[in-house]
Amino acid sequence: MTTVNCKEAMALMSAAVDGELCSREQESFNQHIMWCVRCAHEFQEAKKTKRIIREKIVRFNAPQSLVNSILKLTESPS
Amino acid sequence: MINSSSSHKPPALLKKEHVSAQEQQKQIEFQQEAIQHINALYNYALHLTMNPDDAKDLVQETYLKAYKFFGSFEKGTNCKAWLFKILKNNYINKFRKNSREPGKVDYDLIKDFYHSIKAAQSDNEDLNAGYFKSLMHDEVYQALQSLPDEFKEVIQLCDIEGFTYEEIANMVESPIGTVRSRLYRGRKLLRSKLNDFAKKYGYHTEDNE
Repeated sequence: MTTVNCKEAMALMSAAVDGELCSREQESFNQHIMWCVRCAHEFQEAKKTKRIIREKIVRFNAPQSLVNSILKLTESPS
Repeated sequence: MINSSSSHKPPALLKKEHVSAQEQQKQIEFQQEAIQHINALYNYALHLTMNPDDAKDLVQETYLKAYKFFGSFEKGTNCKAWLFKILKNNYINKFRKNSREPGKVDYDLIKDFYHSIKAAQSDNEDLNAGYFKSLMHDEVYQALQSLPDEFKEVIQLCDIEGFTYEEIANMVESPIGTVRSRLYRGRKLLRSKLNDFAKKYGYHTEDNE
Protein backbone atom coordinates (compact mmCIF):
# COMPACT_ATOMS: atom_id res chain seq x y z
CA MET A 1 0.00 0.00 0.00
CA THR A 2 1.26 3.47 -0.79
CA THR A 3 1.90 5.59 2.25
CA VAL A 4 1.42 9.28 1.79
CA ASN A 5 3.12 12.25 3.36
CA CYS A 6 1.37 15.30 4.79
CA LYS A 7 1.44 17.22 1.54
CA GLU A 8 -0.27 14.35 -0.26
CA ALA A 9 -2.73 13.86 2.59
CA MET A 10 -3.73 17.51 2.38
CA ALA A 11 -4.35 17.10 -1.34
CA LEU A 12 -6.72 14.25 -0.51
CA MET A 13 -8.35 15.85 2.49
CA SER A 14 -11.31 17.63 0.97
CA ALA A 15 -12.25 14.52 -1.00
CA ALA A 16 -11.95 12.53 2.22
CA VAL A 17 -14.41 14.91 3.87
CA ASP A 18 -16.86 14.52 1.00
CA GLY A 19 -16.48 10.80 0.41
CA GLU A 20 -14.97 11.39 -2.99
CA LEU A 21 -11.85 9.25 -2.63
CA CYS A 22 -11.38 6.02 -4.50
CA SER A 23 -10.70 3.04 -2.24
CA ARG A 24 -6.95 3.17 -2.75
CA GLU A 25 -6.80 6.86 -1.89
CA GLN A 26 -9.07 6.25 1.09
CA GLU A 27 -6.75 3.58 2.45
CA SER A 28 -3.69 5.77 2.04
CA PHE A 29 -5.41 8.68 3.69
CA ASN A 30 -6.69 6.61 6.60
CA GLN A 31 -3.20 5.18 7.11
CA HIS A 32 -1.73 8.65 7.25
CA ILE A 33 -4.12 10.15 9.78
CA MET A 34 -3.65 7.13 12.00
CA TRP A 35 -0.17 8.28 12.85
CA CYS A 36 -0.17 11.96 11.90
CA VAL A 37 -1.77 14.02 14.65
CA ARG A 38 -1.65 17.27 12.75
CA CYS A 39 -3.45 15.94 9.68
CA ALA A 40 -5.94 14.00 11.81
CA HIS A 41 -6.78 17.21 13.64
CA GLU A 42 -7.07 19.20 10.42
CA PHE A 43 -9.37 16.52 9.04
CA GLN A 44 -11.70 16.93 12.02
CA GLU A 45 -11.64 20.69 11.58
CA ALA A 46 -12.44 20.40 7.89
CA LYS A 47 -15.42 18.17 8.64
CA LYS A 48 -16.60 20.62 11.25
CA THR A 49 -16.34 23.49 8.78
CA LYS A 50 -18.52 21.63 6.33
CA ARG A 51 -21.08 20.97 9.05
CA ILE A 52 -21.11 24.63 9.99
CA ILE A 53 -21.81 25.70 6.42
CA ARG A 54 -24.53 23.14 5.96
CA GLU A 55 -26.28 23.94 9.20
CA LYS A 56 -25.87 27.67 9.51
CA ILE A 57 -26.34 29.00 6.02
CA VAL A 58 -29.97 29.91 5.52
CA ARG A 59 -31.49 29.05 2.20
CA PHE A 60 -33.95 31.43 0.70
CA ASN A 61 -37.07 30.28 -1.06
CA ALA A 62 -37.82 31.69 -4.46
CA PRO A 63 -40.52 34.37 -4.19
CA GLN A 64 -43.95 33.12 -5.15
CA SER A 65 -44.17 35.63 -7.99
CA LEU A 66 -41.09 34.07 -9.55
CA VAL A 67 -42.46 30.57 -9.17
CA ASN A 68 -45.73 31.62 -10.77
CA SER A 69 -44.12 33.31 -13.73
CA ILE A 70 -41.92 30.32 -14.42
CA LEU A 71 -44.84 27.93 -14.21
CA LYS A 72 -46.64 30.14 -16.69
CA LEU A 73 -43.88 30.05 -19.24
CA THR A 74 -44.01 26.29 -19.40
CA GLU A 75 -47.77 26.16 -19.56
CA SER A 76 -48.40 28.40 -22.51
CA PRO A 77 -47.42 27.42 -26.01
CA SER A 78 -43.95 28.67 -26.88
CA MET B 1 -58.66 20.67 -39.31
CA ILE B 2 -60.55 23.75 -38.30
CA ASN B 3 -64.26 23.21 -38.42
CA SER B 4 -66.75 26.01 -38.90
CA SER B 5 -67.67 26.34 -35.19
CA SER B 6 -64.13 27.11 -34.16
CA SER B 7 -64.17 30.40 -36.02
CA HIS B 8 -66.38 31.79 -33.23
CA LYS B 9 -63.81 31.03 -30.54
CA PRO B 10 -61.36 33.68 -29.34
CA PRO B 11 -57.91 33.37 -30.92
CA ALA B 12 -56.20 32.41 -27.66
CA LEU B 13 -58.28 29.29 -27.29
CA LEU B 14 -57.67 28.41 -30.89
CA LYS B 15 -53.92 28.58 -30.23
CA LYS B 16 -54.16 26.38 -27.17
CA GLU B 17 -56.04 23.70 -29.03
CA HIS B 18 -53.18 23.46 -31.46
CA VAL B 19 -50.40 22.83 -28.96
CA SER B 20 -48.94 19.67 -30.31
CA ALA B 21 -48.85 16.49 -28.29
CA GLN B 22 -45.08 16.67 -28.48
CA GLU B 23 -45.09 20.15 -26.98
CA GLN B 24 -47.42 19.04 -24.23
CA GLN B 25 -45.14 16.13 -23.47
CA LYS B 26 -42.21 18.49 -23.28
CA GLN B 27 -44.10 20.75 -20.88
CA ILE B 28 -44.98 17.85 -18.61
CA GLU B 29 -41.44 16.51 -18.56
CA PHE B 30 -40.00 19.93 -17.96
CA GLN B 31 -42.34 20.56 -15.05
CA GLN B 32 -41.45 17.19 -13.57
CA GLU B 33 -37.71 17.54 -13.93
CA ALA B 34 -36.80 21.20 -13.84
CA ILE B 35 -39.29 23.17 -11.76
CA GLN B 36 -38.36 21.47 -8.50
CA HIS B 37 -34.96 23.14 -8.54
CA ILE B 38 -36.25 26.67 -8.54
CA ASN B 39 -35.37 27.35 -4.89
CA ALA B 40 -31.85 26.05 -5.32
CA LEU B 41 -31.41 28.13 -8.46
CA TYR B 42 -32.76 31.22 -6.80
CA ASN B 43 -30.37 30.74 -3.89
CA TYR B 44 -27.45 30.35 -6.21
CA ALA B 45 -28.48 33.40 -8.22
CA LEU B 46 -28.77 35.37 -4.99
CA HIS B 47 -25.27 34.36 -3.96
CA LEU B 48 -23.92 35.39 -7.32
CA THR B 49 -25.72 38.68 -7.73
CA MET B 50 -26.33 39.64 -4.09
CA ASN B 51 -29.45 41.37 -5.36
CA PRO B 52 -32.94 39.82 -5.26
CA ASP B 53 -34.18 41.56 -8.41
CA ASP B 54 -31.17 40.51 -10.45
CA ALA B 55 -31.50 37.03 -9.00
CA LYS B 56 -35.13 36.81 -10.12
CA ASP B 57 -34.24 37.97 -13.63
CA LEU B 58 -31.40 35.51 -13.80
CA VAL B 59 -33.57 32.57 -12.75
CA GLN B 60 -36.26 33.58 -15.19
CA GLU B 61 -33.81 33.74 -18.09
CA THR B 62 -32.32 30.45 -17.04
CA TYR B 63 -35.64 28.68 -17.17
CA LEU B 64 -36.50 30.27 -20.49
CA LYS B 65 -33.26 29.02 -21.97
CA ALA B 66 -33.57 25.65 -20.29
CA TYR B 67 -37.06 25.18 -21.71
CA LYS B 68 -35.90 26.18 -25.16
CA PHE B 69 -33.01 23.74 -25.10
CA PHE B 70 -34.72 21.04 -23.08
CA GLY B 71 -34.42 18.72 -26.05
CA SER B 72 -30.67 18.71 -25.61
CA PHE B 73 -30.88 17.69 -21.97
CA GLU B 74 -30.04 14.03 -21.48
CA LYS B 75 -32.94 12.57 -19.51
CA GLY B 76 -31.75 10.68 -16.48
CA THR B 77 -28.69 12.86 -15.95
CA ASN B 78 -28.54 15.52 -13.27
CA CYS B 79 -31.01 18.20 -14.29
CA LYS B 80 -30.06 20.41 -11.40
CA ALA B 81 -26.42 20.47 -12.51
CA TRP B 82 -27.53 21.28 -16.05
CA LEU B 83 -29.69 24.16 -14.87
CA PHE B 84 -26.92 25.51 -12.63
CA LYS B 85 -24.54 25.57 -15.55
CA ILE B 86 -27.01 27.51 -17.68
CA LEU B 87 -27.52 29.97 -14.86
CA LYS B 88 -23.81 30.42 -14.35
CA ASN B 89 -23.28 31.09 -18.06
CA ASN B 90 -26.16 33.56 -18.08
CA TYR B 91 -24.63 35.30 -15.11
CA ILE B 92 -21.23 35.58 -16.76
CA ASN B 93 -22.71 36.83 -20.03
CA LYS B 94 -24.91 39.33 -18.30
CA PHE B 95 -22.71 40.69 -15.57
CA ARG B 96 -19.16 39.98 -16.58
CA LYS B 97 -18.65 39.88 -20.32
CA ASN B 98 -20.65 42.98 -21.03
CA SER B 99 -19.14 44.59 -17.94
CA ARG B 100 -22.63 45.59 -16.96
CA GLU B 101 -22.71 46.50 -13.32
CA PRO B 102 -24.94 44.18 -11.35
CA GLY B 103 -27.65 45.86 -9.36
CA LYS B 104 -26.47 47.50 -6.19
CA VAL B 105 -25.77 44.94 -3.51
CA ASP B 106 -28.71 45.25 -1.20
CA TYR B 107 -27.54 43.98 2.16
CA ASP B 108 -30.56 45.36 3.98
CA LEU B 109 -32.96 43.59 1.71
CA ILE B 110 -31.05 40.36 2.12
CA LYS B 111 -31.09 40.79 5.86
CA ASP B 112 -34.87 41.20 5.75
CA PHE B 113 -35.21 38.06 3.69
CA TYR B 114 -33.02 36.26 6.16
CA HIS B 115 -35.09 37.31 9.13
CA SER B 116 -38.39 36.38 7.56
CA ILE B 117 -37.14 33.03 6.36
CA LYS B 118 -35.34 32.31 9.61
CA ALA B 119 -38.54 32.89 11.52
CA ALA B 120 -40.26 30.27 9.42
CA GLN B 121 -37.50 27.71 9.74
CA SER B 122 -37.10 25.47 12.73
CA ASP B 123 -33.81 25.72 14.50
CA ASN B 124 -31.46 22.85 13.99
CA GLU B 125 -29.86 23.09 17.41
CA ASP B 126 -29.00 19.55 18.31
CA LEU B 127 -25.35 20.55 18.27
CA ASN B 128 -22.95 21.28 21.09
CA ALA B 129 -23.38 24.49 22.95
CA GLY B 130 -20.81 27.23 22.95
CA TYR B 131 -18.94 28.49 19.94
CA PHE B 132 -20.67 26.25 17.49
CA LYS B 133 -24.11 27.22 18.62
CA SER B 134 -23.19 30.86 18.84
CA LEU B 135 -22.36 31.04 15.17
CA MET B 136 -25.16 32.76 13.44
CA HIS B 137 -26.05 32.62 9.80
CA ASP B 138 -24.85 36.19 9.36
CA GLU B 139 -21.32 35.46 10.47
CA VAL B 140 -20.98 32.32 8.45
CA TYR B 141 -22.59 33.99 5.47
CA GLN B 142 -20.27 36.99 5.71
CA ALA B 143 -17.25 34.77 6.09
CA LEU B 144 -18.30 32.78 3.06
CA GLN B 145 -19.00 35.88 0.98
CA SER B 146 -15.60 37.29 1.84
CA LEU B 147 -13.78 34.35 0.26
CA PRO B 148 -12.25 34.66 -3.18
CA ASP B 149 -14.79 33.75 -5.85
CA GLU B 150 -13.25 30.45 -6.86
CA PHE B 151 -13.31 29.20 -3.25
CA LYS B 152 -16.76 30.53 -2.53
CA GLU B 153 -18.17 28.88 -5.60
CA VAL B 154 -16.97 25.35 -4.95
CA ILE B 155 -18.03 25.53 -1.30
CA GLN B 156 -21.49 26.63 -2.37
CA LEU B 157 -21.79 23.92 -4.97
CA CYS B 158 -20.39 21.18 -2.73
CA ASP B 159 -21.51 21.96 0.80
CA ILE B 160 -24.72 23.85 0.16
CA GLU B 161 -25.99 22.29 -3.06
CA GLY B 162 -24.51 18.83 -2.70
CA PHE B 163 -23.09 18.35 -6.18
CA THR B 164 -20.43 15.71 -6.76
CA TYR B 165 -16.87 16.68 -7.58
CA GLU B 166 -17.40 15.53 -11.11
CA GLU B 167 -20.42 17.75 -11.51
CA ILE B 168 -18.64 20.68 -9.93
CA ALA B 169 -15.61 20.16 -12.16
CA ASN B 170 -17.90 20.31 -15.15
CA MET B 171 -19.67 23.42 -13.93
CA VAL B 172 -16.53 25.38 -13.12
CA GLU B 173 -14.71 23.93 -16.12
CA SER B 174 -11.67 22.78 -14.20
CA PRO B 175 -10.14 19.39 -13.44
CA ILE B 176 -11.26 17.49 -10.35
CA GLY B 177 -7.83 18.05 -8.78
CA THR B 178 -8.53 21.77 -8.88
CA VAL B 179 -11.90 21.25 -7.23
CA ARG B 180 -10.21 19.26 -4.45
CA SER B 181 -7.59 21.92 -3.96
CA ARG B 182 -10.06 24.80 -3.92
CA LEU B 183 -12.28 23.06 -1.42
CA TYR B 184 -9.32 22.33 0.81
CA ARG B 185 -8.02 25.88 0.71
CA GLY B 186 -11.45 27.47 0.78
CA ARG B 187 -12.55 25.57 3.88
CA LYS B 188 -9.25 26.33 5.56
CA LEU B 189 -9.63 30.03 4.88
CA LEU B 190 -13.24 29.97 6.01
CA ARG B 191 -12.21 28.25 9.22
CA SER B 192 -9.67 30.93 10.04
CA LYS B 193 -12.29 33.63 9.47
CA LEU B 194 -14.76 31.84 11.72
CA ASN B 195 -12.06 31.45 14.35
CA ASP B 196 -11.64 35.20 14.24
CA PHE B 197 -15.31 35.56 15.11
CA ALA B 198 -14.94 33.06 17.92
CA LYS B 199 -11.99 34.92 19.38
CA LYS B 200 -13.95 38.14 19.15
CA TYR B 201 -16.66 36.65 21.33
CA GLY B 202 -14.21 34.98 23.65
CA TYR B 203 -15.03 31.41 22.75
CA HIS B 204 -12.53 28.59 22.70
CA THR B 205 -12.18 26.95 19.36
CA GLU B 206 -10.55 23.77 20.60
CA ASP B 207 -12.07 20.33 20.09
CA ASN B 208 -15.43 19.37 21.52
CA GLU B 209 -16.97 22.65 20.51
